[in-house]
Amino acid sequence: MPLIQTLQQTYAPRKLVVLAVNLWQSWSIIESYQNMYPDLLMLRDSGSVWSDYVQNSYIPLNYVITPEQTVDYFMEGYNQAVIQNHILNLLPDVTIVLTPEAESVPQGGVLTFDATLTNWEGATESIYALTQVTLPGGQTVTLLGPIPVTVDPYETISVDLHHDIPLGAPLGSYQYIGKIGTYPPVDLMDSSKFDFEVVAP
Amino acid sequence: MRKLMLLSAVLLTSFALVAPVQATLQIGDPAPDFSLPDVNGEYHSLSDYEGQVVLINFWQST
Repeated sequence: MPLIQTLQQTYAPRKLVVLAVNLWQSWSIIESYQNMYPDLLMLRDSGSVWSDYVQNSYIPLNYVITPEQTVDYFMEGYNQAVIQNHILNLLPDVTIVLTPEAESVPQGGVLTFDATLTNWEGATESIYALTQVTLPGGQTVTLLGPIPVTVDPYETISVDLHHDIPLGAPLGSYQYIGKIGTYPPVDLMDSSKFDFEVVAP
Repeated sequence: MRKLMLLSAVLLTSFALVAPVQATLQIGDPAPDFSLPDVNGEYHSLSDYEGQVVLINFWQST
C-alpha cells in the first residue's frame, strides 16, 4: 500500500488515478487504511466487481486501465517497477489542464479560463491544440485551432484565454474541452474539460 | 440401469446449468464499468475517469 501511494503521489500531476478496492472487509478497517494513506481513493466491493475482474482468486490483484478504458495489463501480486513501466507507457508526455475563472457567465459577458500545458519528458514536443464547446442543444463547435504548439523539455506553458459570450447565446449548460495531440487530431494525447452555465445578464 | 442413466443425465444437465462460465478478462478487453462507495458514502465509477490512466488495486488487509 505505501508503494501504491507513492505511485499515486508521483503521477497524479500526469492524471494517474488509483482506485484501491477493498474486498469484503469492514468499513472500520478500510477507514483506518484511508487515514494511513490519504492520497489513495479507497472503495469497498462486496464481491460484484471482483467477480468481473477475478483471475485466479489471488489478492492483491492489479489492473492498469488505458484512457480508452480497456485492460492494458494485470498482475496478481504487486511489482512496483513492472506496474510503473506499464503506467509510464500510457501516461501522456504532455498534459493539458483547463481551469475556469467562474462556473457561470452572463450573456454578453466573457468566459475566462487558464490553459496549462506541461511537458513531462526530456524531449521537445511539437503538438497541436484544439478547443471546442458543446452547446446546451448538444451541438459541438470548434473555437480555437488546431494551433501548433512546441513545448520544451519539462516546460510548463500557462495562458489566459477569453471568449466573448454573445448576447443571444442560449441559456443553459455548456461544456468546454481542450484537446492536444497530433494533427489531424486522430492521436489524442490528452484532454481537459469544464462545465459552465450561461445565465441571463 | 435406465434409472441410473436417467439420473446421470439429470445430474449432467444440472451441472451444465450451474457451472460458471470461464470468462476472465484478457489484455485488450474493455474494462467492466462499476460504481463503488468510498469511506464517505460517495460513489465512484470507473467511467468517471475515462481519458485517464487508472490503476485498480484489489486488496485486503492481512
